[in-house]
Amino acid sequence: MALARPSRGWFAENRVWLALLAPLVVLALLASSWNWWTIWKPNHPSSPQRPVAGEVHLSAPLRLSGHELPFDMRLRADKAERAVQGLGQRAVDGLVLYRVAVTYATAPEQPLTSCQITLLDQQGASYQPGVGTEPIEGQKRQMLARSCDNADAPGPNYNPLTGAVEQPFDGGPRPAQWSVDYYFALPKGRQPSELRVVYQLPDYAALPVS
Amino acid sequence: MVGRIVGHAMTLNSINPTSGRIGTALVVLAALAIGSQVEARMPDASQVLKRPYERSAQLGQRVELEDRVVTVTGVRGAGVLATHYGSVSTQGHWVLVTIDYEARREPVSPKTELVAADGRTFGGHNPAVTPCSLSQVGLPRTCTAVFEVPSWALQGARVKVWSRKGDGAEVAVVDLGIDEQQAGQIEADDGTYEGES
Repeated sequence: MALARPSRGWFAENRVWLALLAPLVVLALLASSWNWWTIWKPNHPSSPQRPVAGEVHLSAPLRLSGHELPFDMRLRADKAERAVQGLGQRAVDGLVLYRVAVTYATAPEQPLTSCQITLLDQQGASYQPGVGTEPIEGQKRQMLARSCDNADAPGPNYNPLTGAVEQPFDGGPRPAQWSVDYYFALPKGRQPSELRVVYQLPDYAALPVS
Repeated sequence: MVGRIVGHAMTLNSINPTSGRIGTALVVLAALAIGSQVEARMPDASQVLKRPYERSAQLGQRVELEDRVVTVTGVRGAGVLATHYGSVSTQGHWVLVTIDYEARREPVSPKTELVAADGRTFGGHNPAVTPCSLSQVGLPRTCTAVFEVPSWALQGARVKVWSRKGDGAEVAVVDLGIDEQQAGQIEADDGTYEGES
């Protein structure tokens, strides 16, 4: 006559496999988030650099054409101010013009690369400088700034395709510090909140302007 | 008979353990086989994720995409494009599609293509045409998208207005309402399009 084995219960009998489930779930999550780590995060503004004593320091090397190139830049931004007009332009109907002054500081021999400027309002909507403006009749119209360069003397820059350092033909040496005024047109009721300056993702300077 | 008779009763505990394991294995194998067949008949997950999310609309109908609101308001023809480089004619037809658009969160400009009734697509970058302006929140824009198409592609054509780039993007698919009569009108229109002001 066979004796029935006393049952220990399903959970007790499978406790080893159940214990293994936890690390397996973690591994599965890591595997399925591979694209997030390798594609999304490095290519999106996911690493804000916030000001210390009013100044943001960007120092991550630039990756251009397979090279890691030294980069060092310090940035400050004034609070956004309402402006009636800027450089002979005003906001189109329904929008309000704001001016944000940004000060850049780096060694004159530091090669630069192109940057992207974006203003965020308090609801998270983003705006580009110089969009939503129109020329004022009778006034001399000038180009509104959209880049980080010192227009008078841009100084050396990295060639984005080769990574080689190139010298501009004119302008002379770039000063160690320069300022650029940016003009943004926001809808009525929206307030500027943060200015973002991106030289290379995922890092960006997050400068409060409110 | 599976199991062992104890007196006159058969209990679960008395089932032969080996037979039980074989039964479990068979059930698992059957489940795997069924699962495999079901999976083979399902669309590939990565392809589904990459597929655009289409929002069908008619001419004049407002479409709210994830990053912009678009309305295709009109369609007409032209025989010649006046550009910075001079006049550009075509052996087919210039189809001009007017689009209203406004950003909902980030600056946007429309990316469009024209799809013929048979699915063939026209569009892409045209160096002779000024690109549409950037729209931001609170800054609605109107733009004329220009397509160069042959006669046979006019009737039943739709225009696609894409949202952001990338997999799984939303796209407004707007029926331009071009019937045989309107296709004839577009073919007959030999005016000059002067471009955006």
